[in-house]
Amino acid sequence: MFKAVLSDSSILKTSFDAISSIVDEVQIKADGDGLRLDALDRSHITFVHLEFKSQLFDSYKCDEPIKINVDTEELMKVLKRAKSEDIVELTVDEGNFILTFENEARRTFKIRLIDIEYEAPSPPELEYPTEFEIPFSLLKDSIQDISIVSDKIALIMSGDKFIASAEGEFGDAKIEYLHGEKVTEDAKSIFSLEKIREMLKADKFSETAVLKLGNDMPLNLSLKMASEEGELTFLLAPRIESEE
Amino acid sequence: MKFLSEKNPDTKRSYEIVDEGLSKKAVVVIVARCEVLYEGRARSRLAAGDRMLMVKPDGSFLVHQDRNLDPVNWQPPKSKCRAYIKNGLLHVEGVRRNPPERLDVEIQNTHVASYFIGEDSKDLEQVGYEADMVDMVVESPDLIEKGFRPTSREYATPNGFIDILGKDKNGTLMVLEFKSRRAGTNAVKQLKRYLDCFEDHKEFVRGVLVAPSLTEEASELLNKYEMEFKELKPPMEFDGDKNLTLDFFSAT
Repeated sequence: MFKAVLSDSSILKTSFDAISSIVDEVQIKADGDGLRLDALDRSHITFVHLEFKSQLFDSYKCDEPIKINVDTEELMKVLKRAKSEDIVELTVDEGNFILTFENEARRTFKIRLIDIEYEAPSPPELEYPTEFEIPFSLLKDSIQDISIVSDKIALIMSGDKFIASAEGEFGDAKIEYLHGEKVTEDAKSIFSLEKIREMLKADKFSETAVLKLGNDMPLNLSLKMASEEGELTFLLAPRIESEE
Repeated sequence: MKFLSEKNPDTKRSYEIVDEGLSKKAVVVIVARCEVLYEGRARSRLAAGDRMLMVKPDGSFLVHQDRNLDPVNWQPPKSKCRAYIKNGLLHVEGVRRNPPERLDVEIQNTHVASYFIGEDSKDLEQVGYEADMVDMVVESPDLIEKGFRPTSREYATPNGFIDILGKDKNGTLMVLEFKSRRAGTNAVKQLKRYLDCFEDHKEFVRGVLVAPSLTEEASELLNKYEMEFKELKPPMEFDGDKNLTLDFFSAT
């Protein structure tokens, strides 16, 4: 039997806000250690990994490993109905993923499980020359700044600075941040702003983001809870500019 | 690719295949003798005949006859599709709640029931459209004339959005309207309406119609309004910029 109770609905909401904009369906794996999911978007550009350790939950029970296949849009519709003070209970029955929100009333939603033959995607294993932390809000603001001029963003590590920049048709934008890490190598990759924006919907997950960057390499963006009980990681393939 | 196909399955077996395909989020293809009913914004009825039905994983539901390019009946993506048996016959339906509409296919005889689960991660790339011409000119303004400098794109006026607003080498304001195919008088009138928005402007404003060619009438009208024509073909080369996929990095 599987049953997980969580007193904070926002963490589920914020995670699936991002996940549902990236993939249509997911397989959530539950076992004694907690919940996990790995998913790759249809165009194979974004990979997402979510992990909730059992300690994150107020109570957690999973006797045998199960796979919960759901349509992320349906799941998000239900999660949107959760209020912040609701206690969330997750269970499954034959054919349904059951979410219960308990407060003044007990509200139960059933989402039909889908019968996809899911092969868990395996992300490329990459070695990065740089890794650093940045306040999540700063990253989100930078994306907003850049969106004024372009739909692409260059993320650059240059000496002691992390730079987000874009050259638009009618203007440029540049954000510089002193990252305070020891970085020996410079790096630069270009990404689709829209794809980054999808990942950054998970803005209530963590106050800091850990970025890994390389030259024309995928972006590794990791959000970790302070308690280390949960992790949400994204991998985003870069864009390559045409050589003319 | 996972693929399953059976010829002449009975009603029960047809139901199993279609139901399985739908729950696996496969592309379901059925060739069958069927009747089609639609109810929603209007009503339609198609009496029995041999047709091809297709349900895609995104909820698109199409019914094709043996003629015409477009399906005779269809439901758009995000429709809820299911199979059920009623009075001994298999039905496949696609339903939407908003707007309320329902497409129901009653299958009398299944010739082929099949589904497949494939992989297709690519999107269509297209060039040769007006927006591609505008992109091209923003990138290389000299295509219009030497010294031309675009200052804004999609510039809002009370009469619509100007494709490109810019200035020539003497600083004279230029309004550019693009057409990817032979331009007619409507394009000229459209450009004139934009220029009308600059009546208060003290200096002369140049109006330029940018297109691969121009009709005779359009040319005459253009002269009458004292506007210009610039011959330019839309680009036909695919953009070299691209998103790499993560597979690319797995392989290396």
